[in-house]
Amino acid sequence: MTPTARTIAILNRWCGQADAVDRTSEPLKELWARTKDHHSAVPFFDSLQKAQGAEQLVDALVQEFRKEPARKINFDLTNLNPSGGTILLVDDLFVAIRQSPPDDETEAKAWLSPEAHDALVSDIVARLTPVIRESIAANPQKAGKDGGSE
Amino acid sequence: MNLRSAFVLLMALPAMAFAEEMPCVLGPYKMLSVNRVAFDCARTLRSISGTATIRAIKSDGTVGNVVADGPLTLIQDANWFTVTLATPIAAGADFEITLQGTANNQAFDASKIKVSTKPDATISVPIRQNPSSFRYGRELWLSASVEVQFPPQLDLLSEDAPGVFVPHRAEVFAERSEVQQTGTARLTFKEHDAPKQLNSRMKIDGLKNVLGQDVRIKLNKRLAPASSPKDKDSSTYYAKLLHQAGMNSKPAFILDGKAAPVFPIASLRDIQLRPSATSDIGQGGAIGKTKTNDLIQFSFGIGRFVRTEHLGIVQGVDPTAGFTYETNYELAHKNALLTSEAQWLVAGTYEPLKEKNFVNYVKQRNCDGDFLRAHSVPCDKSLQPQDAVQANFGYELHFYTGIETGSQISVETGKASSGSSKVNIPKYSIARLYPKVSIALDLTHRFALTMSGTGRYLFATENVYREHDVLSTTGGDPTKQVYLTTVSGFRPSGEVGLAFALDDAGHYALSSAVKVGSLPPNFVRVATVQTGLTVKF
Repeated sequence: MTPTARTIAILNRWCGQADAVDRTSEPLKELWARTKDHHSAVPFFDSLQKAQGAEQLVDALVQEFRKEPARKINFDLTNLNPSGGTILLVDDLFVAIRQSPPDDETEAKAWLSPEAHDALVSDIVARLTPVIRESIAANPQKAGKDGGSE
Repeated sequence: MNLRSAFVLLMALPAMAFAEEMPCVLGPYKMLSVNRVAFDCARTLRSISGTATIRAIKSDGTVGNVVADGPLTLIQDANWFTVTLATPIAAGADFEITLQGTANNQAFDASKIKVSTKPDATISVPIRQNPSSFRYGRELWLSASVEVQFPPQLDLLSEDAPGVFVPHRAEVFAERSEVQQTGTARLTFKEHDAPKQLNSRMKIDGLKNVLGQDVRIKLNKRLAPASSPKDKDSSTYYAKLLHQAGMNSKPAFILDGKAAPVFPIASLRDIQLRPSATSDIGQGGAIGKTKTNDLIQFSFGIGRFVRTEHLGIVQGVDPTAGFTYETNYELAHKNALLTSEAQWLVAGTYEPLKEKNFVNYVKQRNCDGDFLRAHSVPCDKSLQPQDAVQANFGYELHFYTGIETGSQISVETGKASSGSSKVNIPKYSIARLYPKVSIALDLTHRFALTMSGTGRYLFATENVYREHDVLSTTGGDPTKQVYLTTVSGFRPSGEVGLAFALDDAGHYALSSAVKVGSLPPNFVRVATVQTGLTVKF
């Protein structure tokens, strides 16, 4: 699962409702309020002392991303404060998770998603094919020898 | 309508009756390669099929012929889908893409979205950035819609002074574990080498995207709204100058200035060389009859910012230790000092207008419902920082402590401002301790009220000279006579200023300041008002 897919799964569990996350531009506070019949309905973030909803979410994210492939969650409860915080929407949370560094950055550098891998391969093929064709057209005899077709 | 058209329409009716709007809020897109584009549905997307048709947008804004098309494919694990085009599309152009097909097993009406293959990128602070913290600048994120070929290191140039682009070397980390990360990378700077002015314009040289174009940071996109240092303490370069000249009068001038550039030494664990030159003097004409501050200092120090966030309220300490040569305009004092000053960065003391405007920008761009309702503004994903809702009040507090120890290095002569009276000033020892507080209040983006106070305590008695008027026995004008005296104990000084910014960022301002108290080396008690043009960076 990608970091975003894991985050959606956490949000659904946090809300106590499968497929709770439908619109990623929805504020986390509104998501929590909309699904109040499925969870403890504690305040999301009324104040720093009454922020159990946000606290549960951060705790759940920290727990989840301790598992492999792990990430160091580098934001905290105060970032989810609807007045003054900067992680307000589901989309913001996706970004915050992506901006939390993987535990092993070196490994992650070489990790391509299937889509990115396919794109890379098709890009290389698209760029090299005309070059190879031109090369063959320019020197068909040598190409034949190199290809071992004689 | 002929019979055939009516029949075609009749056959299409069931499909038309059940077609709905596409269940996506199409916005962000990523160009993975020359012929593959990915779109964010931003809604739950379980399945999608259909086709995308791409038309070029001409320079006059009209839509041209179809240039490419391709099928829609769902990306697993995300609410994104891709379009793989039969032919590559051109770089550096704008296109309109029409999507048609079925999503979540429901046919949808044709949806249109505009995409661009221009090589624009944006730079932003991390989303977790807390506006009242001092973590700004060390970590930035570059984001582009077209995939970028990132090198391990990158030079980001920021316009630290008008027209002067200063390179800052960044370590690049570009993770690609999901499609949303296309075109993005984290830029991490060394402590001493982070861009200092995040409201400046930025450039990157030599970075190419997968379409072979040079990536550029859009010049009209600032990382933060324009702003400038508020007072002399927080400025790197500061000058307030007043000059007056006329017939039968000595030219008068006031120079309140500072130049304190910083030179980092990368090989010495972020230690910085910090030379500085400071003056607060006024001489000549009417100024000669009014007591003004009379301080000139040249310093050479080394320092290093130390993060102390783990200790709680004090988030950082920035100490500087070094040597200072201190004198006055008449060169009647020549003090050699070992000095040490520390700035204490305290949580919750930094909420200037630029930070508040930046938070407003983030909230409006991110469609924060409470914010949009409170300010009656629409959500705007393409909002630029300078167009965000402007706050009208901000504040910042700076705390310092310092020690000055040394001595006057030679016997000097104090002379009267007119006449021939003079006095010898013997050598003396110096041992001073001071706390200093400076407060800046932003009152709209045009006005700034600044206050600073220094409570200097002199542990050693220092020699100073004063002058007074002596009446002439022959009935002429009184003459000036100087005499030696001493100072010790508590010698506070303070300043209250009001500035009116002449430009948006506030680098140039008309300002007026009331100065009271006494400053080294001669510790004359002053109570003066100075008004002039201030330039600060």
